[in-house]
Amino acid sequence: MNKIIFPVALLLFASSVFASGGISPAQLKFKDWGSSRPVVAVVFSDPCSSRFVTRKPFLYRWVDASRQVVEPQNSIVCDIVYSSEPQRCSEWYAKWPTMVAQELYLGPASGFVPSRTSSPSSLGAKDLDALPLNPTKVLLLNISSGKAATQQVFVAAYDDISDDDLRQMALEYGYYPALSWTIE
Amino acid sequence: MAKRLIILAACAAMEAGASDQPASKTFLITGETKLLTPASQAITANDQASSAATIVAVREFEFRDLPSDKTAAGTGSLLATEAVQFTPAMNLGSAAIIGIGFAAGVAGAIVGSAIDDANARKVAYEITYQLDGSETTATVIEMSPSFKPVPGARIKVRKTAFASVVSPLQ
Repeated sequence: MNKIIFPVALLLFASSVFASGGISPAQLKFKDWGSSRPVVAVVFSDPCSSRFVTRKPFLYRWVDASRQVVEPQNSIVCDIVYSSEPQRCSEWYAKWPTMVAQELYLGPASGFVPSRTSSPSSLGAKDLDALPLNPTKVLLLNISSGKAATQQVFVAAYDDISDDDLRQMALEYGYYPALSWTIE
Repeated sequence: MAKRLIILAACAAMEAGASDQPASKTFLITGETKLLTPASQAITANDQASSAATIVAVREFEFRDLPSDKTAAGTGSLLATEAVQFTPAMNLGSAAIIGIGFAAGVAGAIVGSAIDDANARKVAYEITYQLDGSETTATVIEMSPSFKPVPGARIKVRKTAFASVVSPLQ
């Protein structure tokens, strides 16, 4: 029974959010990679999370493992969300972010140890079974909007890639979907 | 609005049918990939190649709860030395309690979790196998087996990005 009720409830809830606006793919900003876009694989702990139905009252931050702001990803996200209210991207507002993307691990794949637990809010080792072999560098991103709304995105690169380019790929293929799938 | 409903319908279908499956999805981003949507084609573990093998030896052991930052379910990763004990009480011969530890990267290592319902104890297996056509053996730790491993059984060994996974050879 729940299998029927839940999707219907999700549809009704999300529809009510759509009525008041959100972020469309047309607003998203992509890097012009040319022919040099690296090959990556992306794993979402919960790709359809209704918990990411979100709207502009949220304040966005992208931070590293020590919670220092990461640029330009932080500014890109803020500019997208608040294109008509740039003052929202000021440091004053940034003190109280309500949606935070934090890099839990960024480095060589050989140094990454997966968690043993899996859940919609946390990627475990079993979630990484489908990844192609021999990634070079990986990024585990924790995206949270409030205490009860968290999911993780894991990005594995298969080319020699800089930290900044891996972050950019994580933004375009990990963070944008989490941001836009339920609020387009 | 139609596109929104398609995306929502894809999500709803995934949610409805996913009660017994992990919620996670894996996507491979190649030169043709546009912005991902829930309807994008995901890749699965079954897409990875596997090799046939035969179990050579099995040791059963009991383990304690492991810190999440020390172990990895289903993959070869760190297994805390103090967390695993082979126990004589589980018909493992006269061996005294032996603590074992495995470093990340050991070929074919697998860590997961399993419950021995009869004893309400967590039971795991150290499985040594030989790949077809190979003279050498490799050992994995399987803590969430979907089958009870026994010597002589035929298995599939699938190498993943962070370890290996064994399963019965159908």
